[in-house]
Amino acid sequence: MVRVAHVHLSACTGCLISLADSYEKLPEILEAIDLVYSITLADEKTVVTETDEKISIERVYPDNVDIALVEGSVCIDDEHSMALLKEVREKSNIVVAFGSCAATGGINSFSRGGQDPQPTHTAFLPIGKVIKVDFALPGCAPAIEGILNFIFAALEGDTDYMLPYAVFAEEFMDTNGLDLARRVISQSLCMGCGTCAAACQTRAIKMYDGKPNFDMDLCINCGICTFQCPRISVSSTVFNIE
Amino acid sequence: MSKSLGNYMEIITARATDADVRSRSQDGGIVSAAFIYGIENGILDGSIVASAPDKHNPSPVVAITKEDILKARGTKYSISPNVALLKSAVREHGLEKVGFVGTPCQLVALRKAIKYPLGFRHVGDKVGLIIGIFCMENFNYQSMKILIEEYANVSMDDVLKTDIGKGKLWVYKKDGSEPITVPLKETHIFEQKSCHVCTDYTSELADFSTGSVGSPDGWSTVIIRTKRGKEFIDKMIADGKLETQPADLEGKGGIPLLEKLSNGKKEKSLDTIRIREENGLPVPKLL
Amino acid sequence: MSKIVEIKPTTRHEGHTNLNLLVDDDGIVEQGYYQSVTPVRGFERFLIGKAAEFAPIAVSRFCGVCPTAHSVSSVEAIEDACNITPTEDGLILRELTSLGNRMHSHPIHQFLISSDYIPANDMGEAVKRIQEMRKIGQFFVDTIGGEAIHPPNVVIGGMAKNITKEARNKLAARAVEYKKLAEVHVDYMVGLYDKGKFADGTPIPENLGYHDFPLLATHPTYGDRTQLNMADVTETSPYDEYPKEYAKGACTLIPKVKGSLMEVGPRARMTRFSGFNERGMIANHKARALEIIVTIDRVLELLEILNLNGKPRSEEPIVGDGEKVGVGMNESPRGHNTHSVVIDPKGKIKYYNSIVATTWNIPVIGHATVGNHYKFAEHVVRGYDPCVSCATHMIVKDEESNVVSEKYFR
Ligand SMILES: Cc1cc2nc3c(=O)[nH]c(=O)nc-3n(C[C@H](O)[C@H](O)[C@H](O)COP(=O)(O)OP(=O)(O)OC[C@H]3O[C@@H](n4cnc5c(N)ncnc54)[C@H](O)[C@@H]3O)c2cc1C
Ligand code: SF4
Ligand code: SF4
Ligand code: SF4
Ligand code: SF4
Repeated sequence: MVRVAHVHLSACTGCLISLADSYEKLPEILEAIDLVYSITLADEKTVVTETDEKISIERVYPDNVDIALVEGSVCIDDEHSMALLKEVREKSNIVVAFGSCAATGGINSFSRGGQDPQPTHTAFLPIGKVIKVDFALPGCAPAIEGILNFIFAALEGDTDYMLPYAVFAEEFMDTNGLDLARRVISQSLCMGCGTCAAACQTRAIKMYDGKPNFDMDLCINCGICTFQCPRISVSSTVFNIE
Repeated sequence: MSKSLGNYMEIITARATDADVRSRSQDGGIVSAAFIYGIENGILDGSIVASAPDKHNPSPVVAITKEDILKARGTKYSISPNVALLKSAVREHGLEKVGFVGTPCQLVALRKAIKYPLGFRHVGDKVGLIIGIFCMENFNYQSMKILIEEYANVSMDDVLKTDIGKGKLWVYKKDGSEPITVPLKETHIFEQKSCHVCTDYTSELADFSTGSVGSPDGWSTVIIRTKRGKEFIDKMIADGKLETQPADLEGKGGIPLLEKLSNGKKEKSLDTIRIREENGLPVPKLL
Repeated sequence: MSKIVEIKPTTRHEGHTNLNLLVDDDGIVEQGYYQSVTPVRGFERFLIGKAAEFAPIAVSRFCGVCPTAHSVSSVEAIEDACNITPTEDGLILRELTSLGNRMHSHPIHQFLISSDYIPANDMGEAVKRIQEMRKIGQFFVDTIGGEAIHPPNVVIGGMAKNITKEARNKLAARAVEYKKLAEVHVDYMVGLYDKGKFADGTPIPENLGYHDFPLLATHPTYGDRTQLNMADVTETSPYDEYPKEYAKGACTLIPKVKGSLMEVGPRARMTRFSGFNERGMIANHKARALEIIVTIDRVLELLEILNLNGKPRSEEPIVGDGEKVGVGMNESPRGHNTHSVVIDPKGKIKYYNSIVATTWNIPVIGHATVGNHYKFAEHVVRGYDPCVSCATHMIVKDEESNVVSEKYFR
């Protein structure tokens, strides 16, 4: 069975809640995979070491993980987070940036440190800036239907379907509303479908006279507008309809 | 199956039997009749359509009654971002079986949203029917206004309907007088530029698509593409909501014309795409 | 001789936390330190200078389990700072959004603790019920709030949109469904909690999770800023509560009311408003279960009085005087939640501070592990349903006094 891990970095757990919003299908999913690490959902492989002074009970990241879903940005100022992320990369075959915090930095791109009690936690990056990421699933949170499509494509090895996620991981770590505007509207490619406006989970995009206006005061750099815009890219799989 | 018209199961010529629906619809009233049928038979609980209460500048609305649908009849040759309302339709409107009508580009966006729904939580499975309209080009509202007011010399307040066909833009007035026409060679510069990279004329991703080209005046060409689309149209015919005639597969004004226009659009747009690439400009990526 | 037990990280709750316990020869906890080690993203700092409207969107992202609690506290605080009165129907919609979130959040916690209490035979049925309940709860937040995970419709002055009649009817039908499910489910869960043992047969010590700190709750279903005087609230450094070696990794400050730690959450609310009268870890679980019924009853009531033609949002301008500290309180699933804000005359944020539910509970949890074997300590943690990403958002109350920061450089 495919060994799956869920790793929680600097995140809000909304992405995992989204996965749980598979409702009646959740038990089915948990049966289709072997969830080998997820401190929120399960007790982990536990290593107990005992000395005269100390009993240490540690939950460790297992070896030979097939798919690691990493939720959250990485705080490069926190050595534990950095070490965990590197360990995840080493021990996992496929690393997925699960949600916008991991894919683009999302809300954490605003962080600038200075807050007690850890004022030195300053920099929170999309994980792809620290390790090689194979696929990115933006969205704050990414919708469950998209997560499931991805997981089942991965289980079936449907690389055609997975291609847009690979491209996003590679090319769109820095995108946001303004970036979409520059890539599409400022290139005379926007035809006013309104998809970006519907997708935007903060409602930062409003359509006027058939074109989007971006309220950058409300943009959290999640990148989902860019991901969904058909004038950025369309996968060939979209054209197979029944 | 045909390269120029996309995948399809069947092509027919049809029109709504309800004269009321037909009266103010653009062509055969297929779109409006279908949505009304869907609502009245519980197949749909509402539809996203383009409404233009304020003088032809359209915007999408969620229509849940026959009256709502009828109010939105007719083509607006300006951009109505119908996908923008999709989420609202299933959120605060509480719809679970949404009908959708859109231009070919909007259907690409919609199908992508359904297949890659990361930004569309609990939305995709609530789309109950996707109707596509044929589309050669679109205009933003300000351009349309210039064409109507400055080229056709008609006040926006007096416009009953606009149509594009037979090489002309037709402006019909509320007073019932003869329509004013503007030759399309004058309208080209006002076309939305992003339409020039669009290679889909006949809404190839619809459940069924419809337009005037290929059928006699007052009738519509209907290209049935999916099982869902076929079931829907078959039911409408069986219930007497559509009258049909075989599509004209041979004649000059029939399906061959549709294919010719479709191929023409594809070729022209592929050219534009090539030129953009040569100039180092981005183009929509096909992955 | 005492030994140290370190559990890192603790599991089956939100976020990253460690337990550091001092135990005697029999493994009985003598001192317990529970602490968050989730990095501090610094929302209160980066919000400064941003438009007020950005705050509810940003702080919703404290937590994806109870995002609504933060958006609501935030808009309440800004309204207070700007003297804006939200519309009546806006408030009804907002409370419905909050409660929809609670309708999902309480059950998901029961899912996380399911293996502790639910016998294997019943598991399938119980999880099915939990997921059905969650689905209805999330449907409420999706429909009214716009998105169940981070609802954008919670806006200053009320809500961005009212809902249609069709939507209301669907919500009402599902609420009735929820009530039926909840009655069965709550009975079942309370029955398990009353058994006095875990699913594997281990007896649960009766005094597990006992502590002597007072309870804090402001409202049974929404939040009420008149019920807590912020002048009584202080925030102290982890260095005051924890030994230095643990304090230096701690990612939350320690809030107190009149110098005392406080427990917040369902037990606090149920005790104050519904006559609940039990203490300890099992009591926390029980109160949480029973509160599901309080929640759905209120939802049914609110759906009755909602005016679908009512104005969802007040259009009063979003400007402050740059001085008034607006306070917003919301009773999140995990307990009392306060946001404080100052808005300047241009509508920008001048100061932002949140003390969220789990921040209150974190130091209490450590104390509550004392007196029983360390193997029960994680059960005590789960009794509080901690949600730790939320909890890492505090700054010293007085911006100018560097009390906390100084200690770092000592
Ligand atoms: C910009 C544009 C260009 C077109 N170009 C061609 C063409 O070259 N050849 C051709 O044969 N047909 C074309 N059509 C389609 C044609 O004009 C009719 O819309 C179609 O035949 C449907 O007519 P009907 O009588 O069945 O629909 P009706 O019953 O009149 O209903 C039409 C439906 O389309 C919706 N609608 C109207 N305007 C828009 C819009 N701008 N965007 C999205 N939805 C809208 C309405 O709300 C309504 O629900 C074009 C349509 C548009 C919008
Ligand atoms: S992407 Fe959004 S939902 Fe996911 S962890 Fe980040 S803030 Fe939370
Ligand atoms: S505009 Fe909206 S969808 Fe786009 S990046 Fe910003 S928040 Fe995300
Ligand atoms: S999704 Fe892309 S093409 Fe559609 S309106 Fe937005 S920017 Fe324009
Ligand atoms: S020509 Fe293409 S891009 Fe332009 S409106 Fe029509 S379908 Fe859309």
